[in-house]
Amino acid sequence: MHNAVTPQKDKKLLINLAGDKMHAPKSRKIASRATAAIVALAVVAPAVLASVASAASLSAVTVRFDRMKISSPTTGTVCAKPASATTVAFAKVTFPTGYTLGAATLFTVDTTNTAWPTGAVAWTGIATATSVTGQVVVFPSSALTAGTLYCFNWNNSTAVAVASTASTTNTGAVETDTAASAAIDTASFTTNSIANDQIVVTASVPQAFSFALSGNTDNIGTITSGTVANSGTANTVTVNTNAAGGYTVWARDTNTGLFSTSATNTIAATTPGTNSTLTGSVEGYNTGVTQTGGATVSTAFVGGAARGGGLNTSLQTLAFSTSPATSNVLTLTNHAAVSGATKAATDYTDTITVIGAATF
Amino acid sequence: MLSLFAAVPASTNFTLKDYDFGTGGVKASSTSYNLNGTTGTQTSASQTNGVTILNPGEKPTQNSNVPPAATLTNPTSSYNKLHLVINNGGNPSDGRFAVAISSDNFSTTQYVKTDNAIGSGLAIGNYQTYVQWGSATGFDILGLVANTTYKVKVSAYQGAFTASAFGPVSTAVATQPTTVSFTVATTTNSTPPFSVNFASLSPGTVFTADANAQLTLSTNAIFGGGIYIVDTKGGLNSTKTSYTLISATADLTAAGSGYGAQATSLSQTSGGPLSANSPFNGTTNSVGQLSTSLQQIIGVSSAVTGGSAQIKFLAKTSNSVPPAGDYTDTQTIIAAMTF
Repeated sequence: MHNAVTPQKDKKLLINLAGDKMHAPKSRKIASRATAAIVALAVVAPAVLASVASAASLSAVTVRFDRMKISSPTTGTVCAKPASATTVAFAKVTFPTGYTLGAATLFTVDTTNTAWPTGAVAWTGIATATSVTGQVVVFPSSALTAGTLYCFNWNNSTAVAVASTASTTNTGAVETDTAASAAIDTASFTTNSIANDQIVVTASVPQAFSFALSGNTDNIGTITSGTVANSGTANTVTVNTNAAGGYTVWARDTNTGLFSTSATNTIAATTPGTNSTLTGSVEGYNTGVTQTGGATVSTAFVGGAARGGGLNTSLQTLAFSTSPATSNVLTLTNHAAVSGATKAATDYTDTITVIGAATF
Repeated sequence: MLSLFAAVPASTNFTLKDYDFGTGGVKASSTSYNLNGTTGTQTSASQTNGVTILNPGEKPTQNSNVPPAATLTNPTSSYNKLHLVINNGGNPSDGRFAVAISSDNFSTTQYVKTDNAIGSGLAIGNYQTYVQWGSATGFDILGLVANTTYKVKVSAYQGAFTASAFGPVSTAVATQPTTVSFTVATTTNSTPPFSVNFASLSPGTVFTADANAQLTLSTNAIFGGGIYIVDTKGGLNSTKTSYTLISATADLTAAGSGYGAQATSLSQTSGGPLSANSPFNGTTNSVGQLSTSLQQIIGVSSAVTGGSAQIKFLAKTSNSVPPAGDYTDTQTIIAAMTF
């Protein structure tokens, strides 16, 4: 009983009715006409509750241009959330004035999620554009569900170029259309064209080589016949380098052995360039190298118990690496042994020079 | 039902010289309506009951008063809604009102639905009481098109067959255009081309570039949007050494080497707020991976004014990173809003 309303299309009829027939005293004929007309109006009222075709607003719209720099070719993304339940057949995107558009065939699309807004799903049935008219590009679409955010990407940067001048008022629109190309929902968007949207990051990586000795003295202590004496505190060499060719560590000594000034005697180094292992009662002196971190120890100086190579006044390669090194640690252990004939003295000494160099 | 009124008019009090039904209107029938009333004259805001002939058993009814022009405004400078306060025009409290809206002076008309959004077609359900339309406070008409001028007019009804004509048209009020203003620069340079530099990435130490990307963002997009970043190379690349210091999400303090970015110094005058998205929301030496795929580095869930943010670039090399002076990378930074 209460669902008879007077929609917009009825307005004229009702106003005419009132204005023409009920103003001032009129004839009964007119009154009768009025009554009859009202009857007719009331009866036909449901029939004139027809929809008035007019677009509603999309609930949300995003158009992202993957480049914003002026005149740049760009791919991009179109997202829209329909508000109406009407069956969608086309998505119509109006690009901002000044954006250069290619032919429809260039507007190829995909539905890969490229950092789409949260909750977005692939645009159903979206396909390569079918027409470009002015700034309007029409893409085929399948039916969409109202309230769902749909996105698609145009993935050919030759399809769109950003406007050639910087602007904050580049406005366009997204519209869903019926199969008859009638607008269903529409909404506008705004984007910017800017002078430059890129930042170049530059860096310089300098050549690096660090070489550190842990100490500069090594007291072997008392050397007793029959026992091989070792370094009191073995010194280490730590190497770091970003040299692509790695590094080499060399050593030489001043005395080619342990020399006592007071006894004028030298406990001679074992044969330079040859790896050897000392025994307790045979006079000798060598330097052994062990490593951590990846260095290669020269065969002559491979260390171990009483094991090593002799040094002389010429540089000998202790260890090396053919690649960048991080925390390569070489431990230099000196070994000495005396025989019963070795002159006693407390001032046996030697100075070993250890150097390194990287190969950049 | 119609047959009752189609009978020949008869009266013992009047002489009926002539009668007809004019063009009559369409012939129709209804099983839904019970025609039991007449109407009066409606020539102004309030009905004036003119000469009405009542048949025996008929009871006079009165149309609702035509609502005066409603008050349409855009108090929040919105691009998709306007505020409307309807005038009940002296209609009773159970009177109901429908709101017609148009952007083309009612060449085409839409109607405000009960969810305050607009749509095509007028149905009985679109009528609401004055209270339901927000009384004197009014309500927001939603889902309007940006940068468009609207007018509204209101109809009232109460009971059966009592809908008024639509009243006078309101003052035209426009929605605002959608807006966004986004800039890219660096903290040391506001004029492109923009660059930041790591002067000397000695191995084993975390370095920060000599400048940050400086971004500003203002928009009236009610759903906000985001600032996105994409890296052309996925890391700092040296052509000379054919080596790339790959970007990765990491705490560079602990990592042997790496390269990435942080979103920092986020602020806004109002709205927003801007927020750094993971993994770019780290502190100290924690960085997010710069990818060759677009990533949203900064988000905002509502309109924002005076938004500002920086992107800080950090890097650390190890001895495995060959020395060279030509390491380079390019970040593209864009923004997109959801209106």
